[in-house]
Amino acid sequence: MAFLALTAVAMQAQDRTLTGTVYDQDGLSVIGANVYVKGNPSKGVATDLDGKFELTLSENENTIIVSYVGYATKRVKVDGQSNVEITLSEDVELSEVVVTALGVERDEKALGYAVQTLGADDIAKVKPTNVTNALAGKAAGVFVTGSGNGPTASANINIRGAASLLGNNQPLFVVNGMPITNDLYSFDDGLNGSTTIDFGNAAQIVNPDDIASVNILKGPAASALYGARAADGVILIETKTGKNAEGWGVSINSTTTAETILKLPNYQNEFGFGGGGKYSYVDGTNYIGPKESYEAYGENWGPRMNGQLIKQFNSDGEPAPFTPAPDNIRNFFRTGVTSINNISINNSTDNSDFRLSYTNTGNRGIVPNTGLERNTFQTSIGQRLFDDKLDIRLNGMYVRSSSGNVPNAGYDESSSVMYGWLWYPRQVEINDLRDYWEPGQEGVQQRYVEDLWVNNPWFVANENTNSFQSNRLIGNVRMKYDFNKHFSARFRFGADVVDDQRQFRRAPSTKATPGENGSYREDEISFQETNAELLLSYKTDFQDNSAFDFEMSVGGNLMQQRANFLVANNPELKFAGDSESIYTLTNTASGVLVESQKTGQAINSLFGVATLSYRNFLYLDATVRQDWSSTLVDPAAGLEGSDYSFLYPSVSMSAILSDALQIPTSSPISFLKLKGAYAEVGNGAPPYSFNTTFTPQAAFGGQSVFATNRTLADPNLTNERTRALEFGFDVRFFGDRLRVDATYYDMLSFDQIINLPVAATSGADFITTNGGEISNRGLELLVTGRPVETSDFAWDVTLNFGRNRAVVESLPDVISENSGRYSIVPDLFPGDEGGADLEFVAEEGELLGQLYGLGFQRVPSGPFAGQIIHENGLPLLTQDKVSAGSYQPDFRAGIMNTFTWKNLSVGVLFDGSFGGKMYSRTHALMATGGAITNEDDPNLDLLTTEGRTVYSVDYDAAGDPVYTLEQAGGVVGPGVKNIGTPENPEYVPNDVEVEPGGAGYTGYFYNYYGNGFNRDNIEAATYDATWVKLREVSVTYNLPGSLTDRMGLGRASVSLVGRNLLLFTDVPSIDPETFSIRNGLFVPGFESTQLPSTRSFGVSLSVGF
Amino acid sequence: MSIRKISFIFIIASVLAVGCDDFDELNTNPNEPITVSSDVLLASAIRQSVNTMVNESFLLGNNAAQLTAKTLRTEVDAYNWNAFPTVWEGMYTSLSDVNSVEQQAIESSNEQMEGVAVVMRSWIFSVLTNAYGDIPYFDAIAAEGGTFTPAYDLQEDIYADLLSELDRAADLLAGPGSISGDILLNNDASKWQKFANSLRMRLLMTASNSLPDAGTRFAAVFNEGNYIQSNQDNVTLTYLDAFPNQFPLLPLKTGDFDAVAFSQTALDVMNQYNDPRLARYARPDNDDFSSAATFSGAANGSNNANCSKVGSRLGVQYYNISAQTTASELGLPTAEGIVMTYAEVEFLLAEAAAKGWISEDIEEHYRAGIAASMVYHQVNPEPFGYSSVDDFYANSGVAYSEVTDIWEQKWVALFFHGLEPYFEVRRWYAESGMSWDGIPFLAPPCDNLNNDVLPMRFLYPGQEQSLNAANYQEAVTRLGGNDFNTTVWVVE
Repeated sequence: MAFLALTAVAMQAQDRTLTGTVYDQDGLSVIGANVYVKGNPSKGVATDLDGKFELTLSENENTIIVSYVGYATKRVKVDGQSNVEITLSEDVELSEVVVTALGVERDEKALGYAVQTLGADDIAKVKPTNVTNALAGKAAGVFVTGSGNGPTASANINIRGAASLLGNNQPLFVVNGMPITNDLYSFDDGLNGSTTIDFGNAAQIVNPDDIASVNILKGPAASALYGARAADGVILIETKTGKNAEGWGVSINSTTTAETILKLPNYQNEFGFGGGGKYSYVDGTNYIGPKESYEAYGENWGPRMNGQLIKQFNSDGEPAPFTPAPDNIRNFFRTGVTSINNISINNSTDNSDFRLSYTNTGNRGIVPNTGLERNTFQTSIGQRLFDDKLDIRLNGMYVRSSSGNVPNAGYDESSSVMYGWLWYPRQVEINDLRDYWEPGQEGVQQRYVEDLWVNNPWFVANENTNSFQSNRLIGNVRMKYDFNKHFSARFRFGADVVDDQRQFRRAPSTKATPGENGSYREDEISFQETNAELLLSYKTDFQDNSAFDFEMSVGGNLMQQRANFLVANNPELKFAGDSESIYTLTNTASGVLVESQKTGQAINSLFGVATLSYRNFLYLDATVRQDWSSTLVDPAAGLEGSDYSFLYPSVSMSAILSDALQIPTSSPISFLKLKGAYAEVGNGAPPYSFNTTFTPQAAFGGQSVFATNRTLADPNLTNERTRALEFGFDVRFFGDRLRVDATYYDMLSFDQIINLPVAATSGADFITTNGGEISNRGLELLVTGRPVETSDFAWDVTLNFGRNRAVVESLPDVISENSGRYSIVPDLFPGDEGGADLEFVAEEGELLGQLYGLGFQRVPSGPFAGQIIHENGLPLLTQDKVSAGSYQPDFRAGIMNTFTWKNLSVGVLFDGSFGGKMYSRTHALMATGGAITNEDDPNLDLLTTEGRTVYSVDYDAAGDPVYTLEQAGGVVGPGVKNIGTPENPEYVPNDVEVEPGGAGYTGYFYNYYGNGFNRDNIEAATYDATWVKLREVSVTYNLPGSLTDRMGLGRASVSLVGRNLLLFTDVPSIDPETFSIRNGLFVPGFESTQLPSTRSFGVSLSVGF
Repeated sequence: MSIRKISFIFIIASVLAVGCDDFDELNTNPNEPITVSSDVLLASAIRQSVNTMVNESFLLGNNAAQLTAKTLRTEVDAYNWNAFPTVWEGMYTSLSDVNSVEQQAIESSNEQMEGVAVVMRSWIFSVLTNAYGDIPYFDAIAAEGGTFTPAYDLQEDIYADLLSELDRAADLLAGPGSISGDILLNNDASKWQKFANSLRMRLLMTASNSLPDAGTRFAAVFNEGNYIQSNQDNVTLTYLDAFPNQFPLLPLKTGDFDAVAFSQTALDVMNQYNDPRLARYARPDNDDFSSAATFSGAANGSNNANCSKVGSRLGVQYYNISAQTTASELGLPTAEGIVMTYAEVEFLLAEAAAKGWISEDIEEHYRAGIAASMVYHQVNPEPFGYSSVDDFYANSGVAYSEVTDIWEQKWVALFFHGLEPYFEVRRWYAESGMSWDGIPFLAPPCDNLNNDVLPMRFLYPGQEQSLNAANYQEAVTRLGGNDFNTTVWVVE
């Protein structure tokens, strides 16, 4: 109200006439620039064909404001002048126009909610193969977590935390106005249990060179118009068009980068393969064996590698020097190469434009025989007809991706080289295994150090392949018709079609496959989404100079999704051999198992949006969307009996105080905006949640078999809902040289859809029902500034900061009354039967995503409080599971520095995640297997190389090993022991020596990480996950115009680029920027035998003519 | 508002209204039916429950009874028992299908099928209560009716109901109707009757110490004469050649995490008699099936230097080992999933005779039990120095002299009979006054962690503590703690 009063300044006294001319930077007159009196926007004119204008000013009006799209708005004090010359400069710092929901372009200052825009350069300068990774560190509150799992690796993107206990909490991706799928399409089951082969998040295929802008709708208020799909925010991607080209143009971009390993564990090079300090090779099949050969023990608790003579797998039965091969694992990996080449041509005429682009992306992975090939065709065609009243645009994107082999990262015996390294001998040179077939048994029998457990890594990489071919078509057509200056109508139709085929080969003699006879599986994934949308808009005439402007749109959308998944598994090949043709579904020893899944769903929607603005400094937006969702229709109850319709409202407000208060230009504050918004959005139910069904199983011979589905449905199942409030400010100083944009939000997601576990004794395992609340509160801060600016030098800084706390406020009663916690993933690492499983948990009153497992028994009080209690020298574990904390970082921050000096610009982006926890199974496994030094473990001050009992080996006349004790060992675990009774404990420092590791899953390290083989201790290998990365570096030289002219080019630039160049972290053995994938779910905070992350660096060329 | 605009809105609204019409069809699950015939559910229940028992006999039953020994992960052998949730979950899971079968059978007045469902349910619950003691029984498997936290019932009450249910089932199986989907007993109602009655005898023997009228009830069943009387009546699942219907252990490999070897205890007993079953239960270390076969036995107990973990691998019918003799090369089938065999019934009769429950010749049944087991395992007596099974009985020293002989030979015969070997060892241990001393062929496991005391029950799984907390607490309080040393009613 205050603004209104303040602006109601009387207009009085002497009028005078002001004339002027508006020029651009090049001295050309600007036609159609908006010139108006400060504080009285209604008193304005547009410049004429010569850039001239004339205004009548009253006595107290002595500042005018000049604005033009694409240029920085300028305030000019005219005082006594009657003629002014005004030069506008291009607004490169802060783009004023942003794309909002439904593709509506808005002035950023008019928005009452947070939207952050990234331009083409932000995305494409240092290109990753997964476009999602290009957002990392660049937008406040947008948490992107990549991983090193090969060229197709997924990236997990969360905006404002996690709204839901079910599903992945990924934002909706919208390309050119139409939603596309970003699913993982990951099926763990059926392929040797614990496989994680990461084929990537589906939205990763969008080609960076084709992106014009990315607008991130962060909160529900921004995304409310997407209704039931909007709870996790929206990423709006607009692709390039030929619209702003002048005539014909050709652009060529070429980037080639090399990838090397960023981090590997600290391997020890003192002790080799074996157990209990002993090792000798017999025939590779004895785990321990009567002769204590430990040849198939699979761990590095063996003898000292000091050149002593020991029979080994490749020594033909003769003793050979036992010496370390320090870089054996590093030498397996190769330098990866990624090459992205793009050519585009565009043209525009008075009433049409087009752009055609082709991109080839080729990748050679760091794991031998892995890679990616991707071809992208992108086109945009625009046509304006009937005096520009009808505007038609066609966008099409076709992407064909394929790979002969996607590396498997995970705890999978059959096809993960990362599994193999856990048990890889420290003394074996990697090249000694390069010939991976037994001579004369090519295609039938692999050759390795031992014959029980682990597969030869070269064999895995070359024979056990995971290939895919995928076709993706994303297309849409948009027609907009302006009936008159008030009314317009727009129709859009979009389709996203995915066809993905995957083949999995496991060669004969692969350990851990049925019969070790090889297997073959094919997956087929097809997905299709279509959207048809109609929008009718009305707006007032902005030229009529009234104080109020009003815009309103109403429309509707029909969304349909269909998906088909087919998995055909031939678990055991009939005929083995060296021929390609053995890998078929029909070459089967025991039949083929087929699973198929079809899903379909639809959402019909009606929506409306209204914007009211007052004198261009006060804006009020309201939206409403009504969704009808097919997944909430209970087929048994029918439409009438189902509650499947939901209303999602939002309201937001923006006040430009600097305009309203007429802050003088002499003030350091050049712009001040306050914003606030309230919104409700939803999150839909999965299809077919109603009714108890019977699940088809593999037939028993001729007898069909169906089993009662263990998940029951709640007949009252309803939509998840999120209510959100946000407010913030945007303040700019010193003529916009410094900007601080801050947003605080508070969201509550309730009626959580949850697969509530119930006691198996009831006859069901889960009920799909509603219950529970998650709150997300957080702060987003964007600071941009230009600390230094001279005529040919500029330094720009952008700081993005985001903090989010996702808290489980409540859970369904049946959980509250029992444990108070719900396992989102009840068993992170299946396959290790027995013991306690590690869990990813939602616990009432706690941060979402607690890492649960067993813990250490610790002294509760007294001088030794907190120390680990030992018994017989081994640490004691708790009976009940404990939490090691939540994965959620305290905050994420990215800081981008750009230095521009004449034609040279340098960009440096640091990206960091601070706080939160990460469990590293790689570290736990490597330490129990004795492969690493453990010197970088902040939790345990013991080296795996300390205190080992070691033997030297000799051979008797029969050739059998004779062991001589070389050194007796033992380590003392840090902590205490109880010399009192269980009831009246008395603690003294632990002084009992035990073997650090050794035979039969005993020894200190095995027990420290949890009950021998189980490794079910969550505390031991969970670390503060803080990391900072030198995420991107680019050095770009733009060739000067004099040179490019001579070369016949419009522009040309050459860049040196680098990604993930440095990593700073205290987490041992691994790069903590990672996650696990289980049953198609991202599980942050857990790492298991992942591929090493990579740094990449290379050269990028860009020319246009 | 212009007419044009209004009409547009009208068009959108009507499109949407029409669009929603097929939503109920769209949300009808195309992958899974909401009704199926009962044969497919019976097959599911049989496969699921029998597979569970095969796996658990491998992981638990044989090892807890010292017929085999774990060589790597020795928690079971060493009495360092955690909860064994796979027994609980595997068996309870099968009950949903069983109950659906029963419901459909009642609706269609198919008494035979109803009888099969009752027998299956009774067998499954009998395994569960024998393992755990008090369990959810009367209120279990009622989630569809809204009971998500079933109460725990007393084992005594469960036993009473199981025995009467099996009695009722035997009558139902004589009634109208037909059986389908029976991959266990080939849709043969008479075999199901025999199974029902034999199971009653098993339960009466198991509870003989706690059920005052066990003897008379046993005699009544015996006198009806309708029980398993030959290996043709065996309740076993014959697996197929094709994945996933093979014997569940075939895909395992040596050195697997749950590596199991033949036990020293079993080796000692069988060596004493030169028992030809040795070449079936264990794979000769030298892969030689002639008289030159060599065997070794691993100690049950802790995984430390005192307890040798080197023992023969399990027999050719249970495992495939590359480049070694296969079952088919010896003309043997792969192993079956055993629920109950004729041999067990004969030993039940022998012991019942010894207890004076029935007036029968002890030795006759004892000898028939041994013979039945030998025949079932298709032994070749010759490499062991016998011309026939009779020759073995006469000349090996196995011939009957006292009651513990029945225990010993029954114990040998119960190889891979689910958890039954452990349940029987527990009964004998109880009959011996909670002592090993009364069981001549057994001793406490090497360096075990339970003071040489045999555990009396399985621990309730952790899932019940979190999902059925109140009822679980009540049951645990009644027991005096979720402790594996707490006795259950059948051995009190």
